[in-house]
Amino acid sequence: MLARLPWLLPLSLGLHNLSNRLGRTLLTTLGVILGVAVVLAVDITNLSTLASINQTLERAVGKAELLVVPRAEEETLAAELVEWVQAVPGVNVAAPDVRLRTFLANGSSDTPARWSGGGVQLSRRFELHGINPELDPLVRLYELESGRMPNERGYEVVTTQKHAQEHNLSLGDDLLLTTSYGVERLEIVGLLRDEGVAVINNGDVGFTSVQVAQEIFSLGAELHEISVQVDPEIASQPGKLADLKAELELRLGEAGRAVYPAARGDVVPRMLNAYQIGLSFFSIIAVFVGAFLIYNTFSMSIAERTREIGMYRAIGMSRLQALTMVLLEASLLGLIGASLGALAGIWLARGLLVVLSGFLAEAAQQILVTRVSLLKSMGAGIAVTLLSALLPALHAANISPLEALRVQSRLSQRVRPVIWLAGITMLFTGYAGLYYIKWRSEVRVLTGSTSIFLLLFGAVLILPLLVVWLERTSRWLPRVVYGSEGALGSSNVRRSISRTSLTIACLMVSLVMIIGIGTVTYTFEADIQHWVNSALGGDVFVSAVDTLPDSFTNQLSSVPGVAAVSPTRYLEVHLASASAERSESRRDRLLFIAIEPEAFRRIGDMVFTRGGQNPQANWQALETDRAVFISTVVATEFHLQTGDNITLLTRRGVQDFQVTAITTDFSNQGYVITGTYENLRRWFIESGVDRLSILTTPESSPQTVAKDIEIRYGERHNLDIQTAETLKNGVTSVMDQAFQLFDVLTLVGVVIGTLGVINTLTMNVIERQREIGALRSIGMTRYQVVRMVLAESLAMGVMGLIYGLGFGYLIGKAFVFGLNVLSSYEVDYLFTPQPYLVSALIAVGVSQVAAIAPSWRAARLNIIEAIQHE
Amino acid sequence: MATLEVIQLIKQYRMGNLSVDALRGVDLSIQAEEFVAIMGPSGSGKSTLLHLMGGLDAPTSGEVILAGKPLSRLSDNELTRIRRLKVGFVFQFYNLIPTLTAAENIALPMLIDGAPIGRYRERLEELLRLVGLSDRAQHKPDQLSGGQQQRVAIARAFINQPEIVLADEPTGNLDTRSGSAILELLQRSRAELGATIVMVTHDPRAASYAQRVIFLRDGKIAKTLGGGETSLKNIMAVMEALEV
Repeated sequence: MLARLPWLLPLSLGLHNLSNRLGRTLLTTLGVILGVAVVLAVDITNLSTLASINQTLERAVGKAELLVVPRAEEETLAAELVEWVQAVPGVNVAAPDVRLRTFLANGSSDTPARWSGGGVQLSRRFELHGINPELDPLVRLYELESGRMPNERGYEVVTTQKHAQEHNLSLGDDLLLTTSYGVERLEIVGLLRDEGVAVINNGDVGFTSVQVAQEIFSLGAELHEISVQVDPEIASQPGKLADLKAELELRLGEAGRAVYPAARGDVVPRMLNAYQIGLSFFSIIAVFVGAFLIYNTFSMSIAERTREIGMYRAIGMSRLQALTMVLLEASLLGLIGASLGALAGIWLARGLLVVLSGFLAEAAQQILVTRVSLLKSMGAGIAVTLLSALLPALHAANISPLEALRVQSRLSQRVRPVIWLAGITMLFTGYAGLYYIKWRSEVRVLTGSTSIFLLLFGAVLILPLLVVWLERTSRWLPRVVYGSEGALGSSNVRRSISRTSLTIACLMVSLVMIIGIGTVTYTFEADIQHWVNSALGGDVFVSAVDTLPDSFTNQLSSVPGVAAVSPTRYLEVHLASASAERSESRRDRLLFIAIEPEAFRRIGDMVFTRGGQNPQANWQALETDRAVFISTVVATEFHLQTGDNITLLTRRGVQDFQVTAITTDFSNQGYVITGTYENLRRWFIESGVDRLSILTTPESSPQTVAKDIEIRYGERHNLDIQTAETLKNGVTSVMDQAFQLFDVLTLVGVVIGTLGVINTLTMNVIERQREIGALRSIGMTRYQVVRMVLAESLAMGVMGLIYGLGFGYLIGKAFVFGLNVLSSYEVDYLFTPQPYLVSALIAVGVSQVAAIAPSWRAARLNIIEAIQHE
Repeated sequence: MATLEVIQLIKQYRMGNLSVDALRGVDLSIQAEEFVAIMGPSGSGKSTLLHLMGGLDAPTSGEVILAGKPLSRLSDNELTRIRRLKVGFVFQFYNLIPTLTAAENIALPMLIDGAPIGRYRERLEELLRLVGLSDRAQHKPDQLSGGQQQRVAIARAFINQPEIVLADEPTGNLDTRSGSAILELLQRSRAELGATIVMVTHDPRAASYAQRVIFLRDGKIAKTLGGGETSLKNIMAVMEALEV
């Protein structure tokens, strides 16, 4: 066959090698599989989540092309507008909607807080919609699992199956809702599948008729929203739809506004943004580590076959044939690995989506695998394999025929200057790109990721320069643990600087991921906890379904055990165009948080940033007319600094409010401004209390006070009462959930790192068979051989650890910096030893576990075969 | 008393379905401070014999008695200990550890034994002097020539004052001049250190340095030269007669 088709020779030799070195072939394939799987899984996760959210929005908002909403959040629409909108030419259906958020009297949820949009949602409420049961199914998707839709006049409700299961409810049971006038009972007549409208508010939702909703919440004939379905012809042409919207706006005048449905959902993609950035970044890192593994395997395979390839060259194989042989091997492995990786990626995506569903309100409904994602990830896998194999292939092509005659492989100590010079350049470029160059916001994600990538790559390239130093620094440990075998094993790592560097790099990148993620998690958690402790303060928190009168603050103050009460009022305010235009996302609404500064400071304090180090002066400044604190997110989004003005639409017209300080605030995704009750009353003509923070006296327990408030006012005012402990535990719990996703990816990194160590050690054992045979022949026991290989691995583990700790520290700081830039939160870097300790355990653990098989192999070597091994 | 005794040694290898007789009943006795060369054509069983004498391999039948101990009755760990303390090996390809210096390579069996440096420092210096590498003690193998590397390997073989040193083609990888130097060194070591040496070789010139030459053919001893008969001429004659 080969005689007839000589060009098949490289392929034939390549296949021969792959089948003969099955362990190495499997390791390389595994590297490709993992790399491809991670890229694909991240892609699928991103796409599926986004598609699911869009689908959710579409289904929840429905087939409505337009919505009619009140001019301000606090306002309502007149019921007669439904008929009026219906009469506009081009409108097919106008479906009314009353939307209310309340608490369930059936028992509150176990989870008081929820992660939402990169911020914290502090309580979990039930959303009740009053709808027209005949019209609404025309504009939104209702998938009934059992039962029927509610009657127009009946005190009936349909809720979700998920909600019913969580609260042990079934058809025929009553849903108990707290209203301003007590508890109302609605009979459950239908249960919805987890689709369409059932995903609103993460399933904590119910639908009754408009009339019933209006009655039980005393809304009179008022509505919150009208969904408008237009003629299909208009709907299919954006221009015509815009004309109809303008027509509606014109006719509505002060009565309401017409908006596109997506306006309500604009926060969701932004909320996912941070996760997507994180996921994409880690997928790049995983490919990076995977590429190491593949390069490592191929270069070792070449090193192992140096004499063999030298022999091929001696008997006439051309350089091109040698190159082709290795690249063909790589292509074959790349193809097999990429195909299996695609399957593994879909499987991994399922896991990631399960993790995601734990903390996102809208879980992905289905796994979305597109042809583009598949081709992209598989192409990346094959390309990375080929690129990783290219250098070893070139090396193979350059092997001299004399190598076939060489008795002993030479130590490879030389480090080419071009490599470490490139590494140093990358380090400087990455550092400058991250800290010194001001990038435009639209490229910031790309430049941030690239900078961190450059830092990591640079760190890898300069490693060969540091291997000897690292070995000297860390050799004491293998010596202490493994005695004289430890010294021997430790010195072995200097045999092949490049191979040791690659292994340390694999470990280092894994550890950097652990430390980086650990640092960000800790810093973010600590900052949120700090904010919860400071800004929320207090021992007990009281939330009201409806805004309560100002006098309620005094009523609570008289409850025994209450030392101080701080009232808060939340009001959505609109920015005037002068300010809104400064926002890159054209955001025009913010949450105005009204507080009584004196009462607030008795219980907690603001977390001031950006030079606002004089709290006393800040608080004094807030007391002046039209003064506000803004959050770091608002400051970044609207390019505002202390002393600037932010222009708001008030009941007294457009007014400039002066920014007197910038604060860290995680509520409402950070889109908050804080002002005084005085300003609320004067400019927004509003008063009342939505939330109260209570400080208890030292001698009373928060639980007792909370119970007392519940007994006195709970039912009457329909309050949600939580102690600080419950709330903070809830915050911690949602934070932990939020970062689980990255733990999964870190685990993938650790697996790849482990494979790298196994690969190196196996290769070291194979390459040194004769030497190990000689050691056995001069009296080294099998046990001592095992100890020597374990020591060698420990030395690499410790070297990877030292390097990983150093770089992990730098990358941890870079991650926090990147988090600030990308999220606009101002989070201060905080050191925590935990990820460093975890890294130490993992580095040592991985090094020892990975060494078990190679050391066993070394110990079992047949001495005679080993000393005759070439 | 003999340092090493080989009694009716048989070694069979299986190669697929075939059984190959590497040794077919070899009897041999090596006396203390004797320098013995084993010669024979490829496949005659000389390396197998050396491996069995050193406890690297187990015979199919027969016995090797080293320092009064029958090797076939020893466990793997006991055999390892025998190799470490009673036997010294010299290989054709030196088999030095490239990351260790010459001195460290020589001391390796002591290091493996966990001996403190005080116990072998003098011996190490003596051996370095003997092999002429005192000034190269801190050099790594790749900084030494082939001959120098083999001298390090010889010094390593003697560090534990072994009962016997087994050398497998110690000059096979060296030029004539370096080879002669190594053989002179082995002779001198025997004389100065009182060692027993068994050397496997193809080279009649190398064999002529020994006091006794044993010729193997087809797994059996075909001829032995001793008592002043080990001149190059005599060895060549036997080789010719045996078609070795």
